[in-house]
Parts: sequence; C-alpha cells; structure tokens
Amino acid sequence: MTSLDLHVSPLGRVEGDLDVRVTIDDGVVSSAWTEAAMFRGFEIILRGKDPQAGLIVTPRICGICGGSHLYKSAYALDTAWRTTMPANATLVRNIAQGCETLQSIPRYYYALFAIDFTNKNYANSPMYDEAVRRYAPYVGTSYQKGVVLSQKPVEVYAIFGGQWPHSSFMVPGGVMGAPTLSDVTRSIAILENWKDNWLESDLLGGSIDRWLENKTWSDVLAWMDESESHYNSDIGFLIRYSLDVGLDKYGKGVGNYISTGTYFDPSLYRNPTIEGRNKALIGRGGVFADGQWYEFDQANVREDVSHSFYQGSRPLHPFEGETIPIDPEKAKAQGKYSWAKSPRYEVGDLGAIPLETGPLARRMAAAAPDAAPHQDADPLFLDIYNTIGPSVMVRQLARLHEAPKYYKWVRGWLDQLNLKESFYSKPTEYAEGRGFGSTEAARGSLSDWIVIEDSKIKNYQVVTPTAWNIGPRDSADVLGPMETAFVGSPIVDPEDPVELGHVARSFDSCLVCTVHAYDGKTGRELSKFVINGMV
Amino acid sequence: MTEGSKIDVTSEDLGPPGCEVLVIGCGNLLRGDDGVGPVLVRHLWDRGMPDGARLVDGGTAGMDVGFQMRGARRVVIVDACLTPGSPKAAPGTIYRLPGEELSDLPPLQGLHTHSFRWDHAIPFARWALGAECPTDITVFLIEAAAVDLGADLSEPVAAAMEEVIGLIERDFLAPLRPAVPDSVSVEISPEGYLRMDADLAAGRFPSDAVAAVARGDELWIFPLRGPSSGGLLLKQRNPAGDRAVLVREVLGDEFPIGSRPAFWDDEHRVLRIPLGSRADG
Repeated sequence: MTSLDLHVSPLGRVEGDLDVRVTIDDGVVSSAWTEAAMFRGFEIILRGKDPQAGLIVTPRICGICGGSHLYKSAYALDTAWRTTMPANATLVRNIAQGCETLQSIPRYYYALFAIDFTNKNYANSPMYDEAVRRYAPYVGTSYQKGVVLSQKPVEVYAIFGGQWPHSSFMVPGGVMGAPTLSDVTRSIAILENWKDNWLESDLLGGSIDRWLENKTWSDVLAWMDESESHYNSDIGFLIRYSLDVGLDKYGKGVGNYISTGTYFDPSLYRNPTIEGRNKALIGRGGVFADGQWYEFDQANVREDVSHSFYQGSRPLHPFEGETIPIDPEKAKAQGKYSWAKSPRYEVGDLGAIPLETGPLARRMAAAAPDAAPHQDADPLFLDIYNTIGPSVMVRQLARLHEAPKYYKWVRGWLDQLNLKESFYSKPTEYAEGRGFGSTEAARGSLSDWIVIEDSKIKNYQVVTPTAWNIGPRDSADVLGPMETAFVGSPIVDPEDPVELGHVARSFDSCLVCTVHAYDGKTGRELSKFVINGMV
Repeated sequence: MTEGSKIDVTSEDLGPPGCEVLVIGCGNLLRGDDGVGPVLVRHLWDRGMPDGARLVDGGTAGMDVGFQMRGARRVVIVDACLTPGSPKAAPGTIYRLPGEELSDLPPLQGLHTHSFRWDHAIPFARWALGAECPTDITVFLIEAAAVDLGADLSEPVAAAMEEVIGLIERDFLAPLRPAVPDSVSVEISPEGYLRMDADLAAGRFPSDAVAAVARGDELWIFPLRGPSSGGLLLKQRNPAGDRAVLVREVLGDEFPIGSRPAFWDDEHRVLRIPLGSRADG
C-alpha cells in the first residue's frame, strides 16, 4: 500500500472544463471563443422521473451553489402545483439562499479573484507589496481570514437545511423541519460574529449602514477618504489598486444585463405563480438593454444551439427545449464549438440578444424606477455604469457590495420567523402542469423550467448563470457575454496575460477554465494557462 | 502554506460540535460510481450511528469537507477513484490509506472552489484548522467502473461499498457502541409493548427497526438494517433513551407481563425472549 499512486484521476465532477481561445493583435484581444468541454446531461437524467426528482438532482449539479439549485427547483414545482406557501417557509428559503451567497462572496473574492493582484506583472505598482501581503494564496492576511470565515454563513444554512452543500430540505409547499428558538438565536450569533470579524472589520473598515448610504461613484470615492479604515479596507484596496493597474479600463462585456431576481416577500408570494413572481420579489429582476429597463418575462428566454454540440434548427423556449447531443467531431464541421447552449432573450426591437448575468446585472435591475416599498431600490451601480462604465473592477465591486446588503436582509428575515406558525403546507400533486422557478445564485440568474405530464417529468431545462455568460456565438454569429468581454482587453505580456485571467475570473463561471492565447496574425500559441484550477 | 492559526474561528461556541468519529462520503451522486461516498453515508445513517459518530455527505464541496473536520478525533473519508495505469485496477478494488501515508500529500498550492477533492481537503484542513485539524485520518478509495451521468452504482462497486461499511463498523463505529452482555432482561407491558433499556437498544438494534417473530415459546427480535423495507420501530420512551416496540400481535392472546430474561443468539443474530408457558404471567 505504501506505493499507491496518489494521482487519482480527477473525476470531472461538476460542470467540467472551459477552454477559452483568444486571438491577440497588436497587444489587444481581437476575438474570443469560449468552449465548454463537457456535456451536461442533467435534463436527460430527469426526463421521465418523478416530478420531485429535480429537488435531488439539481443541487448535485454544483458543489458551491447547490442551495440555489434547490431554491429554484422548489419554486418550479410550487408554480406547477399551485402550492400555498406559509410565511415561515418563504423566510427560511430566503435565509438559506442569502447565506449561500454570503458564503460565496468572500470565498470567490479571496480564493479566486484577488490572488491575481499578486501577479508579477504588477510589481511596479506602488501598492504591490501590500497586495502580496494581503492576497497571496494561503499566507495573505486578508486571504486567510476571508476564506476561513467564509464557512460561517453556510453553518447557518446547515442549521435550517440539515446540511450544506447538497441539501434537499426545500419541498413544494415549504421547507422540511421546524427550527427552534435556539436554532434562530444561534444563527443570529454566527452571523453577527461574522459581520463583526470580517464584514465590517475587514471588508468595509466601517459600518454596513454607512457603506449602504453610497448612492453614486463620487459618494464611494468620498467614503474612501472619509477615514483611514475605509481607505485601508479590502473594498477600499480593490478600488485603489484597480484604478492603479487599470482594472477599470477593460472587461466591459455586452453592457446589457439580465437578472431574474430572488427573495420573496412572504405576504406577497403565498401562492407562487409565474405571473405573480415579479411583484413579490425583494431582489428585483429585470433586463437592462440599450439603456432601457424591461420587465423580466421568462417567456422571452431562448436557447440557441447554432454553435453548440446539439441538434436544433432554431432557438427554443426552455419549455420546448431539447437536449440532443451530437458528436462534437462532426459538429465542428458545422462551426459548432461548445457544449454550452447560448441563452438569449427577446428584447422588443433588439431581437434575441446575449445578456450578462451576475451581481452587476442585479445591481442594474435594482436601479430601475418604480420599486415597490418591499423591493430593493439601489441607484449606486447605475451611477457607476453611467460615470465610469462597466469593467472588471465594477463587476467585483458589485459582488462585494452585496455582502452588507444581503447580510442586513438575512438578519431581518431571522427576526421575522414566527416559530408558532407552520413551515409547510401539503400541496396537491397535480398530474399535469408547467412550472418556472428561478433565483439569483451568487454568480447570476439560475432557472428551471419543468413540464409535468402523467405525474412524470416530460421536460426539464436548467439555464445556469454560467450558460448565460459563457455561452458561445448564436445564429447571427453574435458573441456571448464573456467572449465579448475579452475583446479589446490590452495584453501587456502575451507570455503571461494576467488580464485574461481577470476577465475570466470576473464572471466566476462554474468551470475550470483554460485560456489559450494565440497571435492573431500567425496563429502561434503565445501562452496557455489554467485559471480556477489547482495550479 | 502556513497554518491559519492566527485566525480564531472557534473563540465562541459557534462551530459545529466535535465528535469521536467523523465519516465523510465524497463524490457526485449524479455520476454513477462517483456517488459511492454519499450513498455509503446514507446506508450508515439507516443502520444507526452510535453516540459520538457524525456523518457528512461531502458531495462535491471539498473545501467544506475540510471545515467539517474541525473537532473530530478520528476521520474516515470515503471516495471513488479511477486509478491510472495499465492494466487498470479491477472495479470495486478497495484502497485503504492510513493517516501516515497522507502526511506526504502534495502541499496545497491553488484552490478551485468547483473542483476540490479529498486529497485537497486534507491539506486544506491542515491549513484552515491549524492545530485543530485531526491527525487520525483514514481514506477508503473504491475503484470506479463507470461514472456515467445518471447511472446507478455498478455491481462491483456496490459490493465494495458493503465491504467498506463492514470495515468502518468494525474499526471505527463498533468501539463507540455500548457493550451489551449476551444475557439481559427486558420487560413486557400489559398492552403488549416490549421495553428494553438504552444500551441494549443502541448496542443490538442501532437502526431502531426490528422484526418480531414468535418461535415456539420464544419471542425473537431481529435487528433490521433500516426502516426502508418495513418492520417495527423502536420508539424512544424517555430521555435516558430506553426503547419500546409494540409486539402485541406477535404475542398471541396470552402472554407474560413484567420483566423477562432474554439472551442474544449470535448465530442467528437475534434477541431471544423465552415466554415460558403462556399463562405464567
């Protein structure tokens, strides 16, 4: 046994690998292709199964946002079966979704994104030594604390959900289990401890309420200069360093956004329906395209497979969606290059266009006019969008901005639980129906469409945030959002194009990503590196 | 790599409770034999865990596997593997890696939150937990036959899983279960309940699911592996953990009431309760 080879092959466990090809001309990215290298057959697994199978299967799609998968698959069934949702159940689902996202913010930021600040290409920055001191993997002061404490919010998830990840405790009609008073007080203690010891002390260097008062980019800059602790906080450092090394200058993307929204007001979603969804949302959904806001309507979602390894001649709505894989070698002859489909959204006269999803998209939706009193109304990122434009930096800032916001929400929902009332009401399991459930995972909109016939799943389609962002070109050869974001990035050192890493990581796709950079004229491979991977 | 000991994450009583034995099953339930770890954890749960044992369905969230180890004295990790090499190892081959072998794991150099395995989780736990990382860690790996999406466990892997369950029971769980003498006493209530004390229940009937059969003048109580295929349930009747199960329909019209001697028949794996002549109660 002493001779056992420890190089056990990494089983492609989750969504597999992403190959990114970019061409560089005169030091600037001229085009990009994102190629998802693994077939995802979850929809095929689910066909013909019990309608509730999605509650078990979809949380296993991902080891990091399993709670978000559960949340939207439960609502897909709630709308299909026309359940009645006790207020407590809505609150517990909100708390669970919120805690998973609170976990993801620091874990992603420190373990995946900020480590690139220590790239040797930035050695000339006057802040480089400080970047290394804080963000070097494992030894950086901020890295250590942020990664280790990222566990805290999901300990709260586990109190309500029994386990995290991969819980299946949300069921049509509510949640399983009834928390006790000590569960609630313990959850409050864990979260407040996390706020005191990371969120306020390290991320913000000040109070969450003071940060959330920022309404404009100039407010943010004034906030930074207001105190030394703001200036030296991790969010302060992100802004200062980004401006110094130019992360505010590229990675813009398509500039059009989709958020399906998440978190419901318990009194407004007692009977979940597809039509009633938008009005009940606390974190609003919405589409922002060409400077206009549009109400999100799931009926406008399409999946294009023109450049994906699937059969299909026209974009389909997910209720009609098909997942018919074809041999990639043959498909490549037809110009197909990815296992990801290309989600598109029909926006009036603009047609079916690619939209970016994620924290920045949520922030744009939150800035739309006419918010109801229970809804998030937050103008900050609209001002940032108009003032300095979207970029790698702005995407990160949006992600970090959500930590204090969602902390406050989760804390409030914990106070609203009424332990004397129920957490579940038994639904009628109709033999036929259609359902749509959606949420905002930390990295963007995540939705399920289910068609139930004869008490079995006839069709099931999952559209992930990764698919929205990394999907390939569509039938009109329009690039996907991440592909677009690469284009125009300046590459200082083609042998070590850290800029590409920043762009790729700023979308936090659920894939281990290999970037290949080619010279646009000669086709010579300039560099190849793995991001998100075990280096 | 340094130890994250400067960060005091356990200053308050907010972390998960420690335990004597922690069994973690890793892998993806959606991918055939890759799911053997989580499936094994569910089988162990059905069989009934002794006090001091904790189960974790680690799934595909390796970083959290690292965090879960905090405060455990002994850790068992079960995962599937596809060992490279030719000829390939036979599916169902079990590898047992004792802790000493694991101290040589390559140092942690990068992280990917979406693709994180036990061999990352152990050095990660050493980093994140510092002095609180358990030192007694055993890994069982089961060679996979196929990892197709949506498939069930293959036969050789299912058989190997049973074998690993046996090894975990023998080496890790059995020492936590109360030792029960072969001769014990039980009580039969006038309503036809069989009552047994907490140690007898935990030591012989950990799943709380039993089958009751009348054999001649004896009542036989068989432990079941779990309630999923039916059977009678041992219900907890007081805070001490004593159990009761309704066996009225097996006892017939007349049965003795009160304390009765009983003995464990190891050959038949059954608790036998002589009822004597039916009228002597």
